[in-house]
Amino acid sequence: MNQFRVLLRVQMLSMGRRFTGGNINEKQKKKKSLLGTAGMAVLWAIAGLAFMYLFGMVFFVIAEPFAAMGFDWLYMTLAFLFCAMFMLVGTVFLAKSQLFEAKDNAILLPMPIPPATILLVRMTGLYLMNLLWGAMVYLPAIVIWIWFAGFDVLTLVFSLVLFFAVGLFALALSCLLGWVISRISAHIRNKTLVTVIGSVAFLAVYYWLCGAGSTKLLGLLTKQSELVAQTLGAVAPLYWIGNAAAGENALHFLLSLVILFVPFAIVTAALAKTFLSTVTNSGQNAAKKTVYRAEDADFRVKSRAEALWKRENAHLLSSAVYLLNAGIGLIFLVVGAVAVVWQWNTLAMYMTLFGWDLAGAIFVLLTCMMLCMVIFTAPSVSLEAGTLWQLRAMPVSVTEILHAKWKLHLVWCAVPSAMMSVVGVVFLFCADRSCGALLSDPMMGEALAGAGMLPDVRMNAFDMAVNTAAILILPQLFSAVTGGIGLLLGLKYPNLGWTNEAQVVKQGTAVMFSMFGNMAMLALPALLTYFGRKIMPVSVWMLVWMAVFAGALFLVKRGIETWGVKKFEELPV
Amino acid sequence: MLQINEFTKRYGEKTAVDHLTLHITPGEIYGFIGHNGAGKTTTLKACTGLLSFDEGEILVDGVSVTADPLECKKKIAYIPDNPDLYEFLTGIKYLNFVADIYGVTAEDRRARIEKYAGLFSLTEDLGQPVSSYSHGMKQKLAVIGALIHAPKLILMDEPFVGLDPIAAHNLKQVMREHCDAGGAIFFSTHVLEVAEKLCDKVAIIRRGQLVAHGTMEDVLGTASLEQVFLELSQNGAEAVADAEM
Repeated sequence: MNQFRVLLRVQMLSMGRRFTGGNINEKQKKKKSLLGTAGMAVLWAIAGLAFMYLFGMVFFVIAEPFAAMGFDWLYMTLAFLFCAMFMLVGTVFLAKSQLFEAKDNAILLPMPIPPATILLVRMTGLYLMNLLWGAMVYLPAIVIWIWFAGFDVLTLVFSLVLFFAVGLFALALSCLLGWVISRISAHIRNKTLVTVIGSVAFLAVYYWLCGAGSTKLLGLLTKQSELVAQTLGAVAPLYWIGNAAAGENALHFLLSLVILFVPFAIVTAALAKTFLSTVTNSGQNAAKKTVYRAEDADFRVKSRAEALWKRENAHLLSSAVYLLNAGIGLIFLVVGAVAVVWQWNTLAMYMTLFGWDLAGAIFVLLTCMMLCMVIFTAPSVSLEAGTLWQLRAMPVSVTEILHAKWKLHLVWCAVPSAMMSVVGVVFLFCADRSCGALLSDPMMGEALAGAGMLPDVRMNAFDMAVNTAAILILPQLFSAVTGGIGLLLGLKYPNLGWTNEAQVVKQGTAVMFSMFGNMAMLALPALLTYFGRKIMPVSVWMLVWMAVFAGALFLVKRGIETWGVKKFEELPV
Repeated sequence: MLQINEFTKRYGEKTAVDHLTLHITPGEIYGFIGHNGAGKTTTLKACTGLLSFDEGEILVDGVSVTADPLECKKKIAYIPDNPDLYEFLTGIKYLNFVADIYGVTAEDRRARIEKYAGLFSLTEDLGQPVSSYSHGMKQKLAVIGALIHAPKLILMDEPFVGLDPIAAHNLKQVMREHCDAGGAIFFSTHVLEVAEKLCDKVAIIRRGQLVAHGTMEDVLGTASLEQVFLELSQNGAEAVADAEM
């Protein structure tokens, strides 16, 4: 028990450092400012509130009719289904690395600690993460329910206990998935590719559920709630959980606890039994060995810059965690470009409604929104960790090292964002502006436009030229600036003592600041352009933003080559 | 080849190395001995340019480490005590990366990889990712990486740790060949027998201060290195104890 407590304390400290950016400045060995820690807490709170708002909207729509129809059990069942799903998505990618691939395996396993204790400590960390994710669903769900259905002590107590039990159930699922992925990856050679494809498929289903799926689900829930009740009610455990959480039935409450706890107990027991063999057989031996043959080797000489860039690229491509978490925006960019083509007329309709003068700005905004989620540079310094000595001992300037990291971001962003831009430019020139899409009748659209009943959709040559330039250039400038700022943040908040890459890639301080900073940097020009278009035409705003971002790029470059170089040289080796 | 003059490094109030002066000439294998925390790694890191320092100067082949670090690094190879290498690269990609950074021609890198990988029995494993290597294999790879650009000066921190007896023997042979060809080696070790047999000169450091240095004959006289080291350590410890009383 004592070992468990000690290990848990270390785990909690590590988690705390991840979420607050640490309270110790590694270089100067002095406490970080309270303001910085508070800033991180505020950022996390904003992110949490945003999720709560999203889920709250769904529960707000269904709570009143469900309460009126006596479907309190159905409401609770849905709340806990969402809860479990969100918990699963929140920790499934972390489970494999945190449970089986932690760097401290080599330290802990030789110690006289039962492997099951190590596993349980790591699972506890994941469980707390689960509760954190789940709270974003449970809290709005229960508050909204009390608002509409009235306060009931039993509902509150039973649902709260079940919330913790659902956390265990979701933990069992994510650990099991983590174990399955770990076992599969032990027998495949291109682990990164398989993991990325699997994860993208998982995310595609998830986003479908959140997007089109949730709209359909909401429609189904509000219009055909009886059918949903009948379907879910037929699955006894789901009915028991909902009914118990609604404070209706103590027996169902006990049954639900058993149903949620048993899978957790089975999975934990199974993983504890196989934990040692799983972590000690990482799969390197299971996969077929590539025997080196000198005659096949590539000895082509590369320049220093090329060698450094290839090294960065190899690191990115070797890590599914890095690629997925820091590069998810690239997938969105490609999907976005396809979606524009797919929804061509719908988009034209919206442009007509918003005003075609905003068309270029909207494309820039969409592209940059997705670029906000590309954060390759923010964790790249921390990812060096123990290997930092190599770069520092080699005859290569820090500027070259930092440029290689920046280039990685630029190159990976260039093609997907250009795809989106090209589609945008083609749309600008070729989309149907006659509102035919809107009215399903091009002639009517033209007639209405001709009669001045629809907004003027024409664009003069100057506007077209500026919009085209903005669509093509602004995302590239934005990508360069955000990549550079991410690198500077990575240098400002390095974490060289991580135990698995996910800690810096998913929850690092630099990553958090980078993502939120990118969004803030985009929101300001977007709002100014939208609300300021009466003062100045959108085209002129676009010219202003191109100049502003070009200036920002110059400053960021200077920052990297001066302050950034100094910070890199100060990193402890 | 390596001139360390009045080198001083402080960590806050603590002086890790205090006015250390050592000169290593071409052809010399110079052993650096001291207890844990004596300042060996600090000195080696400073010579490599990994660590800034407070006083003194370090010259590599006449070039100051602080004034022109890149020029110095071109002449140096460094192997730390526990080399963390790029686990995402295969062995051969790692060596090619190092060779690219040092501007080694295709012919030279091919020949050196073939020679040293063969010598350390690592050839077959060069196609594997470094993450699959054992500690000893990583150490061997780090050694090959250090030799790939034929440096003038090799700085090594505990190079024999993790190596099997054959690899350790081969490394000693490579070290001797390197110095016979005009290079120099400055390395730290706790294996006193190795230092005694391998080194041309030796320096003993205690709590950041140089307590003895010179050729083996100068330092040892008729005693063994172990005896001298223990005596110096004990005398030092007693001196410190007296001072504290």
